[in-house]
Amino acid sequence: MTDTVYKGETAETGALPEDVILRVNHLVKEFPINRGVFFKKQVGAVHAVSGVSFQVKRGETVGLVGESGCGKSTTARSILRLLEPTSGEVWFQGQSEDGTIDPPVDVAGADRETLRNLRRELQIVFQDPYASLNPRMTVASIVAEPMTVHDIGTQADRLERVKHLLQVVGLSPEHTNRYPHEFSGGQRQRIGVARALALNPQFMVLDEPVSALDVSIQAQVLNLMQDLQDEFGLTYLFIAHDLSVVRHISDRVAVMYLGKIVEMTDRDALYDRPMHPYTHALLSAVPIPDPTVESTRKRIILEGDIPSPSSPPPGCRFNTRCPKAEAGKCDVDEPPLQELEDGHWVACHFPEVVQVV
Amino acid sequence: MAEHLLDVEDLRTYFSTEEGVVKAVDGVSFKVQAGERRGVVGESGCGKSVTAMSIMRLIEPPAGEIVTGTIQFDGRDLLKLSEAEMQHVRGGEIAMIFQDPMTALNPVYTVGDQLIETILLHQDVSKSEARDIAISALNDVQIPYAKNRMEDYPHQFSGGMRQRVMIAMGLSCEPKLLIADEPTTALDVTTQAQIMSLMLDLADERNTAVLLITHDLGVVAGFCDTIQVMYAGTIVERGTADEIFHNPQHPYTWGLLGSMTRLDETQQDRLNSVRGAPPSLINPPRGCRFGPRCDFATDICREAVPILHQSPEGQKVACHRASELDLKTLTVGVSS
Repeated sequence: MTDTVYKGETAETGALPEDVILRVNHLVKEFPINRGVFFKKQVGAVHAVSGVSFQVKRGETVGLVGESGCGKSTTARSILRLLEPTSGEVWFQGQSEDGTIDPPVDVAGADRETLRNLRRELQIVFQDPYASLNPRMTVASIVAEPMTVHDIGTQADRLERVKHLLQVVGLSPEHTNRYPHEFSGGQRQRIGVARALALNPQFMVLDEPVSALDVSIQAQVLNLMQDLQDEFGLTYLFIAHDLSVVRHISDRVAVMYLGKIVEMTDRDALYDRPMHPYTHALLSAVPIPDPTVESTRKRIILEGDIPSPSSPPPGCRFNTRCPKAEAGKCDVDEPPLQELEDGHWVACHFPEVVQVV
Repeated sequence: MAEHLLDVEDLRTYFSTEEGVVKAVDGVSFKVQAGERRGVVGESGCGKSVTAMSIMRLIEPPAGEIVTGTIQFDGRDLLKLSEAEMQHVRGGEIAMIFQDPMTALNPVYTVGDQLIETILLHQDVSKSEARDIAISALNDVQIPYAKNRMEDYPHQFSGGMRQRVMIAMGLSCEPKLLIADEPTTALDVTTQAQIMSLMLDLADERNTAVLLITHDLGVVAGFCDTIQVMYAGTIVERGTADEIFHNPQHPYTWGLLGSMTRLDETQQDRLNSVRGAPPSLINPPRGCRFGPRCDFATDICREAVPILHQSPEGQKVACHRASELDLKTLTVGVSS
C-alpha cells in the first residue's frame, strides 16, 4: 500500500494543519460478488476504490475527475458514509461558529450519534435532478426535510428558512407549494442545492451537479455554486467527468483511474503541465470549442477499454493501455503517488511533463 | 442531377399533445452538399433530433406529423415516396446512428445476424456474401476478432464497441448521407475521441456527407465544416465553423459560446450564461423566439419574426439587430 505522507508532518492522525477540513487516508471500498441463491458465497470483489488518499483545505474546491467506473462517485459516497467504506479513514475537521477549529473526527469510524451530527456539516448534491427529488413532496417539504430530521426550529421557522433558501438559490419564495414536476431541470437542481444548504453545512459533495443540464443552464448553476461558496464559505468536492467544467470551478484537481488517484495538483498545473500518461490522453481527448485550436491538436487515442474493476491488472492499473508501459516494470510494480513537484502528486514510473492542451 | 445532396425547404413538424400542438420544428430550410460535414447544434427541445427524424420519415402519426415542407434528397422529394421506397432509402442511401447504441440494437439477436439482415435488405447479395461484407465492416470499425464477435450478442460489447457496430451497420451499404444523432453523448471522453475520428475517417473515404447532431459545441468545432444553430424549432444562425465560433452574429449563439467552460484556458470567475429557460413550443413567444431571453431585444423583436438572412460577415443569421450589434466587443454583460 502506498503511503501519502504530507511534507512537514507525520502520518499521525489528529495532527491536521488548521486549514485542512478533510483528509482521506487509504480509503478502500469493495463490493462483494456473490454466487448461489440459498448458500451465498463470496467469489470475488469489485475493487471500486483502492486506497485513495487526499486532503481538502477549508474554502477550496477540489475536482475529482475520471471516466465512468473509475470510482469517483463511490469515493464521494464513502466519504459521506452513504456507502460503508471497507477500510480507511476520513478525518473531518470542522469549525465552530466562533471560528475555533474543532477536534478532527473520523467519519469512517464514527458511531451512529456522532455520524448524525456530522451529517449536518457534510452534504451532497446529486447528478440527476429528476431522481433525487421525491415527486410526491412539495418543494417546502423537500427543502425542510433535513431540518425536520434534525429537529431544528418550529414548523413556522422552517418555512421561513425554506423561503429564504429558495431566494438564495434563485427561485421564487412563492414556489413552496409546488411539486418537482412543475420545474425544469435547472430549477430542480437549484431545489437540490437549497436542500443541501438547509443545515448550513461546511463541506459539500457535488456529484456531477451539471452534467444532466443543457449548456446555458449549466453555466447558470455553476455561477450559482460559486456565488454560494463565496457567500457561505463552503468547501466543495466537485465530482465530474467533464474536464472543462472542472477546470473552471476547481482550485485543485485529482484524476482517478480504476479506483486510484493517478495525478493530483493545482488546477493550472494539471492542465498546463500534466505528468501522467492517462491525464495526457484524457486531456487530449476533450474537444475545445474553437475550430482553429482543434485543427492543430493531436489526440492521444487510447487502445481498448478500461479493465474490469473486479480483476484490476497487476502493477500499474493503467499499464494495459499506456503508451509508455514497460514490460517487467509497469505490469509488476505499482507506482506510488509521489510529490514530484511542489504540490504535484503523480503515480507513474515514467512521469513526464507533456503539454497537450 | 440535383445540385445539393439534401435540400430541406420550410419543414414544419408538429406533435399533438393533450396540452396543445407542439411546434417542434417550425419552418426549417437548409441544404447539404455531397461529402459535407454539417453540425446541427442546440439545446434539448430545439428540434434538432426531430429534424433528423423527419428526414428519415420516422415521425409517427397520429402523434406527430410533417405539416408542410419538402425534403429533396438526390433529386427526389422524400416526403412523396411510398413507404416501400422509403424503406429502401433508410439504411441504404441515408443511414442513421443514434445516441444510445444499446436500445438501437436488438438484444436477442447476435450482432452478426443484425448486420447481415441490413445488408440483405439493401444489397442484392447471397447470405454468405452478406456475411463477408459484415465481417469486413466490423474490421473497418476496428473491432478485434471480428469473425468471432459476429456470434456475440449486443450485451457482450462495451458502449464504445456497440457504437462501432452501429457505425459498421450504418456504413455497410455505402450511404450518401449519414445522420449521427448525438453519437458519442453516452460515451466517455476517451471513447468519444476514438469513435469520432473513426466515423469521420470512414465517411471521408466513402465521400459520405455527415449530419452531426449534438449539444456539444466542442465536438462540432473539431469535426464539422459548416454549422447550423437551432433554437426553439428554428435555425437562428448558419455558417462555417470559423464564422460561428469566431464571429457569432446571433445573441443566442454568442450566449451559448459564453456559457461554455474551456479546457485550454482559465476563465474569469463567472460564465456569461444565457438567462432564463427555453420557451414552450405550444405557445412560442411572439416575434423572435429568443426575445424573452435576449439582452438586446427591442420592440421590433417582440413584434416581427426575424428571418434567416445573409449577414455582411458571411453567415446567415435570423436576428433583427444583427447588423447593429457588435457581439465580438462584448464579453461580460449578460447576467444569469
